[in-house]
Amino acid sequence: MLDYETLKVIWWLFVGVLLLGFAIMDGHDMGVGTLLPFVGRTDGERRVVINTVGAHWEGNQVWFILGGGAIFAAWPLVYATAFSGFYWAMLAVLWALFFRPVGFDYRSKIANPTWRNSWDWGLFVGGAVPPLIFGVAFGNLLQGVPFHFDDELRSYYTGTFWQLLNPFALLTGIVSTAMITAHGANYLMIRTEGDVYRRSRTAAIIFGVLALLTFAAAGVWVMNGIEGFVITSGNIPGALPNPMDKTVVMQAGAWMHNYNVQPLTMLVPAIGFAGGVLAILFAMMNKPLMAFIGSSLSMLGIIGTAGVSMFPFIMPSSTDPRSSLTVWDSVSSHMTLGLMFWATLIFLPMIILYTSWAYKVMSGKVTLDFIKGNDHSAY
Amino acid sequence: MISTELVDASRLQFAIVALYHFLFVPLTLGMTFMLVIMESTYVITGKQVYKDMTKFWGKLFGINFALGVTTGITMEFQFGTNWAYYSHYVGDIFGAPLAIEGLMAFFLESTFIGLFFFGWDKLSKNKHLLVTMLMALGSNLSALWILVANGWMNNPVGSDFSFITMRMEMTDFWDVIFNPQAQAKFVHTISAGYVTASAFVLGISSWYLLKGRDIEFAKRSFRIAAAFGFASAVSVIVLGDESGYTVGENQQTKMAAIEAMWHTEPAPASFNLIAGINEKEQKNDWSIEIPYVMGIIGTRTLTKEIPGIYEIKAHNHERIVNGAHAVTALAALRKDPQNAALKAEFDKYKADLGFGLLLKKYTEDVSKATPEMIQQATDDTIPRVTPMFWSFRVMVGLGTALFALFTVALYTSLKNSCGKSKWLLRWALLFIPVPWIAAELGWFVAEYGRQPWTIFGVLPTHLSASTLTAGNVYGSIAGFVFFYTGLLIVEMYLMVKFARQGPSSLHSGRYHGEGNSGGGAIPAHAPADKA
Amino acid sequence: MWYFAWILGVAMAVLLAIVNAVYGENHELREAESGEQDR
Ligand code: HDD
Ligand code: HEM
Ligand code: HEM
Repeated sequence: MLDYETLKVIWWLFVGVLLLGFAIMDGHDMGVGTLLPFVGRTDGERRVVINTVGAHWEGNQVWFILGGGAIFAAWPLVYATAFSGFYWAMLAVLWALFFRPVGFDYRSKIANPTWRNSWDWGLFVGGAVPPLIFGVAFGNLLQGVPFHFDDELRSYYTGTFWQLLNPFALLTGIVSTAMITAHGANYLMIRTEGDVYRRSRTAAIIFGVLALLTFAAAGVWVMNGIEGFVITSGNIPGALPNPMDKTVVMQAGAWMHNYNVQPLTMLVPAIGFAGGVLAILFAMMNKPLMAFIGSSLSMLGIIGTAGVSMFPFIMPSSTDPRSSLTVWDSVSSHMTLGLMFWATLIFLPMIILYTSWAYKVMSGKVTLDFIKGNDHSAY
Repeated sequence: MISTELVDASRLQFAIVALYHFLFVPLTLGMTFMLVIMESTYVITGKQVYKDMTKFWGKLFGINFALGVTTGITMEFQFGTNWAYYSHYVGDIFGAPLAIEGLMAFFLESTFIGLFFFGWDKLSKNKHLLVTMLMALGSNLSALWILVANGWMNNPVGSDFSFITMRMEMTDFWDVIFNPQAQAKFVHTISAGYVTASAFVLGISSWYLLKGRDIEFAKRSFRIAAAFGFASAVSVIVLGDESGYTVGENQQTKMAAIEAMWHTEPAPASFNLIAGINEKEQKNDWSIEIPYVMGIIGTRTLTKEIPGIYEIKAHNHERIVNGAHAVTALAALRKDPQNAALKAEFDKYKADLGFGLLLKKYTEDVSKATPEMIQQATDDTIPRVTPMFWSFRVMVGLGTALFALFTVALYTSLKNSCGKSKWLLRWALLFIPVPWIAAELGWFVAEYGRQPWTIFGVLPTHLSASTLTAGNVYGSIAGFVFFYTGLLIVEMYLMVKFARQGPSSLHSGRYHGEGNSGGGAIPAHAPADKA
Repeated sequence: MWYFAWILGVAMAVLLAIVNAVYGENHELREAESGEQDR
């Protein structure tokens, strides 16, 4: 069996992989939802857009659900503290997501234009709001969150909802929404043709550029204006997890620390930029599949940047820094981490295999003719 | 201290969203297998009507599934948002099945449901059937894992408390998976789902038969529902009895409340068929009893006693007093983890830690608990008897009535006379909602009967809640009620619309009102169109 | 071992339903044939 410290690091990587899986898979159909009212002008076009993800959004959404489940199993303290602390933000994500299953599934079952138009905007909300709030959440994690634990490890969140919407967090919210929308646009280019294709291409370029600019701006801001966190004592990687067993201070520039110690990690933000640039170039050159790979890489880099900057912190506390949650002290027991490690190792490849098969079966462009021919069975 | 108002609001919210989720769950669990049956019959006989059946019932299933997913995401969030201390305290054990559920079941079910709906023209007959089967397997595996989690809440095996991390930790995963209560729950709940789907198809088919339209289509659906429903109704009863047995083994308070057993009777105890419960004086004013039956159901022997409420309370009183020592020792130990004397003191009373925590509802400093507080906490350990007693009896009554319905339905289908007796068709139509009522009551019995615990004997509900304000939770309840009401209206509208349209909603030109010679006799024997 | 019982049980229930459907088809075919002879 792997030792505890190794498993803790592996689980940090796994959660990263799940976030990335979420961004690539659920992300592209959220992007499609966000773009739906804009790249589809007629009902037929909109049905084309929806049917590009019709057979897949359901499976893709499980990346999101699994993200929740995996954090619960591997980092129960993070699950407990973040979900209850960000109460209204979480409910906003949840309620926005409500529009997706019903939007996809019910929209085309009734021909009334008002009905269909309303669900189209519902799908827009379901596509745009969750990435925005996740981005905002990351912005807040980077600045520290106002919470603390009592002696029994009960967590208390002492901030308000509105305080989450500070300028830096809004900026990271835009990074996240822009990258996911650009990614969705790249996907739409793969699966459509004609007007929808052209509009998606424009969107891919605009949002691709926006993502890169805001990512750069956020980077500059973190280097110069955000205080990071440093562990000053305790918090031994192999020890039994107890967050109250350490001391932590806030320090300007601390989020640059990992890059200084391990210069190779600079590659991570570099991939974020390079992938984004490639995605834009390939979109211009009408190579949508390559553009999709580019935006996937870009998301790997951007999400990775947040992770690497903060490591080993997961959820630092701004009001009681020693309550901060780290990779070493918010985890499950050795046994559970080991067990879940094997479960992931067995099931994740199977998931990737049958998901790829499903995409292969459904591959090809979705056309207006297809929609006309399947008026009653397509979405 | 956590306010009782906050805890009650959180409980109310959980009850609302869980019971609401379970409106859609049982139909999904059963319909996926109904679709497997219909499509297999299509592949075996090659008759177009079975393909149409798969598609049409699949359509209704899809409408239901969308809300199953929508409300399921709520459930996944709910533990973190509203039961944060619970999530911390037991996440080490409870989180694992939830995550495995995602890995093993949700992905399977959700990936293949897309292919089920969109793959008809892209897959061969056999491959499509395989897709349907994998979808069914996925939905049922999801029930497996969530009920392993829920079974553990009712009978927390394979785990131990750690005072350093201040939580329960897993010691044996196999014990958690093969927990007898989880097993009984799984098979009982899943059979309930099969019954639900069978009653749904049976009832709607009966309606077409009553209307005299799409007869060939409806008769075939009726037959399948009758057979599958019969097998499921038998197992729901047999496995309900098994659930009762495991409850009797592991949750005496729940059992005593279900049976309104105020006092231990000499074995084998008699079964209160019905009773006039007097909660105030803690006795039954009158009762109709069947001798021996309770003892046999609860213990499967003629000699073991089933403890009554008075006796259980006396025992729990003792455990609370002991538990108070454990709570006090734990607090000291957390400040001074190396102290061997404290550790020994804690270990001595550790088994009753959960009972000591019950006192936290009344006082922050448990060592100063008054006798009145201890008495109150003791009284809390018994759920209210009246709602438990009657909910259980209604569930069982409905289960028996469903069994009767499916027996008659199967009999007529074997005689090839389904559709001839109008009273049976009306009965079936009337019984569409019955399995839902039984299932919701079942959850009420299981969950309310677990009170005052979230983790039976380990973690009181009172301590499990997040540190929100009650106002926050009222606000979110309002939001849920708003969204869920709207969603339910939309769902019911579509469901009724498509059920009324019947197979004509496939627009194949073969069914009622589509301008062919009525009754659908032609399609039944016509060869299938392309695979 | 109730999990095992489930695997067997659900397979049997599904089979029962399929057999009942196929049996019904045969039954109907026979009735249709005998109906034709009667006429
Ligand atoms: C006995 C069965 C059962 C029970 C007790 C529950 N569920 Fe459920 N759940 C299902 C059976 C199910 C299902 C049959 O698999 C569903 C219902 C309809 C559907 O679409 O899948 C589902 C859907 C579903 C989804 C969406 C899955 C997807 O996208 O495919 C989530 C996230 C959850 N559930 C989570 C939960 C949680 C956290 C529960 C505990 C409180 C819970 N469910 C109770
Ligand atoms: C979908 C099926 C379920 C239904 C219908 C259901 C029903 C209920 C009901 C009625 C309550 C309120 C009890 C009360 O406070 O009086 C409740 C509470 C609760 N249930 Fe369930 N439950 C379901 C599944 C689960 C599962 C699978 C879990 C855990 C895996 C669970 C965990 C809880 C928790 C944590 C509470 C809140 C604390 C409490 O009040 O006991 N429930 N549930
Ligand atoms: C006819 C005989 C029946 C018996 C003897 C029976 C017995 C039981 C028992 C003892 C429980 C509590 C289990 C626990 O607390 O762990 C329970 C729960 C439940 N029952 Fe039944 N039941 C019957 C019929 C039905 C029917 C017809 C349905 C629905 C169609 C149903 C659905 C449920 C559900 C969903 C639960 C909650 C999950 C669980 O705890 O297993 N039951 N049943």
